[in-house]
Amino acid sequence: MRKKVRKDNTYNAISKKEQVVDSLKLPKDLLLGASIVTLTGNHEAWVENYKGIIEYSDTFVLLQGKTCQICISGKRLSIDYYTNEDMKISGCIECVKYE
Amino acid sequence: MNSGCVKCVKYESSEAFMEKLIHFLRGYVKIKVWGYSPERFMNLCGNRNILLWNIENHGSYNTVCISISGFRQLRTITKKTKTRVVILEKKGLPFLLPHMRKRSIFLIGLLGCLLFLHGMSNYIWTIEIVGNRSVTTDVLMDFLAENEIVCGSKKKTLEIEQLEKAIRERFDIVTWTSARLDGTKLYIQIKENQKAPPRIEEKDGTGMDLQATKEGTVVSIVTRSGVPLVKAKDQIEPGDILVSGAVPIYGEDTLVKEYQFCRADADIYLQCGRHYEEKLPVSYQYKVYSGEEIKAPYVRNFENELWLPIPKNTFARSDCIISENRIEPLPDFYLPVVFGSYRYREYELTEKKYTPEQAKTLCAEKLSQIIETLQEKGVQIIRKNVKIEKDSAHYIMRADFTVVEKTGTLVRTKAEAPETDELKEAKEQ
Repeated sequence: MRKKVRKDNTYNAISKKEQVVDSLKLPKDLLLGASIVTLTGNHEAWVENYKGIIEYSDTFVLLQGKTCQICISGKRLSIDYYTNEDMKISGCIECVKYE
Repeated sequence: MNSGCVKCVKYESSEAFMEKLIHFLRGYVKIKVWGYSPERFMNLCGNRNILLWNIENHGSYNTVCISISGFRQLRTITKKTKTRVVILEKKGLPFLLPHMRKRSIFLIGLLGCLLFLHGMSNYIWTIEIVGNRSVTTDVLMDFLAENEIVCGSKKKTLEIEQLEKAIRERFDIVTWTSARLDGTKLYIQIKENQKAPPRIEEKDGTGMDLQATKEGTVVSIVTRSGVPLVKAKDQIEPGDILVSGAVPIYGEDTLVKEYQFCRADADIYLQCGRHYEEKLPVSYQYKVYSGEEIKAPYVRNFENELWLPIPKNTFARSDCIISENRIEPLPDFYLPVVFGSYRYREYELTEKKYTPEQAKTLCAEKLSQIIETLQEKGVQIIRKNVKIEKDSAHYIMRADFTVVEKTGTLVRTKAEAPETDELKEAKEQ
């Protein structure tokens, strides 16, 4: 019973934070730590606001975001550039999944 | 939408080119990374602000591009992540320079070439004039030369606005000018008025009459200003005044008190005759090319030919075709050197005679050209009478047209203001 109440409270707290950010029109990526994934067609993806790479192969890139993990899968995936702030993935992207 | 996309692509490609250029100038190495955790290796590089690019996975190992300064910081990272690093390729200017030291003359030449191009870019090497029809390019070039704008003038001395103004002021027919410098090319665009303004200058206090230039019968007259002196169906002779620019003002005694001068303006259509005569020689010569050709290349700097054409033209009769190519190392960046070639084509003259049918078709073509030019001028053809005759050496085509056309040229009015009593008294005194 206690657990349920806690969960509700956290949910309410997030929603309140979101409401404040929304009403003040503040950038969500900064305040909520949301990752930004920009896709151009199915061959280029720009990712911002992440913590690091967890796994990388030519078919699969798993990134650790600030709130969740981003999984990009496809074929012949390569990283065009990688910095602390943003990265560009190119190749044949088949799926973008948040875990 | 499409143009936006194109702009995006252009922007991105230029950005990518700049990135590549910077990487090349700074120098970079392509490395092979393998071991316990290559992902952690990338994360640590990111945390230490070491840029990694072109990361590719090859199964058991990854290949990564990294700057030289970044590569020097890798020792601690490889220790921490238990990965191994091997240089696969060294790329960029810092790796090329030691090799270049041995080729100092090449470097000096390259530098000299760049300096030469930079120096040459300060001058105008081509002048292109577009849109001129009645003012010929030669006339405009002479005018530019008078204003000290020629091939070889300094770009700094050119004042574009003043040049545009000067062209408009010098040539009345030019209504709009635009000059711009594209690289080493001066590009002048001109728009001319459809009809040249009349040359006669109107002075204050004098009027302008409309005078007949041809003999004929007036079909219609519509006067906008001035006093019409002829009416429809009147027969007129060349030199007759059709519309007077002196408008009389009558006094109480019905005599002309004074004249008010104006510029006569009217649409006067005249029915008159036009005669054309065309002579076509019975025999004519035409060229039969033998197929023999001589090609002689040359190099020219302004008007001076640097190398005279070799081999020389040895044909008795030949056509000469000159083709020239200007050196343009970059778009719109011309240099004052021209490569060209003379092409001589040998021919022999053969005499032939026109058959009456051929002569008839040629005359018909000429007649249709005459009719076309008349219609372009706004002349209406009412009747035409064409005869083709033949004498010993020529076919003669005589064409008589009855046409309706606009007439009248402006001349200074001759009417003078009558002397008033006051003036008479003043003269007597």
